Amino acid sequence: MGDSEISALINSYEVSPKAVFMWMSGLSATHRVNDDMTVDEIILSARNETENFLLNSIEANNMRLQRLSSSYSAEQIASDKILENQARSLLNIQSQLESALDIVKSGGPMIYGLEVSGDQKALSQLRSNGNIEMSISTALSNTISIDRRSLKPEAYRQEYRDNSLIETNSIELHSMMLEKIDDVPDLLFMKPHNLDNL
Amino acid sequence: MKFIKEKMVPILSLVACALLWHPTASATFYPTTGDLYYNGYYYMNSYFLWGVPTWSISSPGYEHDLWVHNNNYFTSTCTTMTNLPDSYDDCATAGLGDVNGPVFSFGTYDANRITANYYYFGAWSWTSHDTSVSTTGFNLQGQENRNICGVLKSIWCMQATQTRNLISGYSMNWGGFPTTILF
Repeated sequence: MGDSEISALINSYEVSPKAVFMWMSGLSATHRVNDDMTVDEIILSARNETENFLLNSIEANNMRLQRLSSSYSAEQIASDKILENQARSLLNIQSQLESALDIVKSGGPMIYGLEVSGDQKALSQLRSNGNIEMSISTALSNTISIDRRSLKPEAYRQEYRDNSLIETNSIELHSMMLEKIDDVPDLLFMKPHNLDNL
Repeated sequence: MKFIKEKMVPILSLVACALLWHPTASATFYPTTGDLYYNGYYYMNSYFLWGVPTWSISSPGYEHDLWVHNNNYFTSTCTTMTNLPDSYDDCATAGLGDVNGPVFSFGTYDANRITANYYYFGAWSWTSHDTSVSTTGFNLQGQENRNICGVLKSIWCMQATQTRNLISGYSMNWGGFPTTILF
């Protein structure tokens, strides 16, 4: 479901959004807010926050790629199963983060759930909508009653695997790591003082 | 992460050694190698891997817990993200019952799917900070847990079975130098 569909669906009820649950390219994420927001505002906030989050994460992953590629040669990585696995997993994370960023920036579907609060009547009306699956939590004084169901779709339990990486010859992993580091725009690359501090 | 001055030298020594360190295959419920990165403001992440993931129960979960000692260092709830298999984000429960400071977490419902020597990562971000609080202690902990609700999967169902400090004894400073600690 796209952002505009979610917004149209929830806006027809008198409820306030509190958190957004997201999944993109195997990455599970929750964006929670303290302030009162409209549905449109929290979706925009989630998308902006997630974009920043992913940019920070790509930068941080580059730091790990650089650390591994500068500590070991291509031959050392290719001849050691442990190092090979580490290289493949870091490259897989890079691919995963870039894929997720594409989805976030292009406006692709990424939200599978919202947490909302409202009075009993509004929540009952929401529950009667056949397009919405609900898990109810109620708070009375200091007692919290929780419906323990997870609304995360079963398909989202899969891990992300970049198939091109699985097929890559182990001797090529080192150069792939260097390419990924070089591919990062200057804006995202770790500043020298970050590297000095490692 | 900016550290208090007297701890800076030991940290730099540790990092220099770790760069040349090859992980050994020890059987543990917690990741044997990893790190924690803090940009000095609202963003942290951690990379970690197991030599031989080993569990005390047949259907284990695993949780990566960031315990921030001062309640007011981060004053918003957090946003988390992780690539752990069958993952969950547990910022929702941070602060609830955490009498010694909030614990910001992410994890997996199915730790049996964790692969040896494969990097996993997770990250946290926040949106507000109490300007009167410039520093706080913190711990990074690895926790094996069990789902007490059976087949239902919910963050409210995950109960600790074993916990291990991965990083402890350090402080983080607001506005400090972006820094990584290895474990």
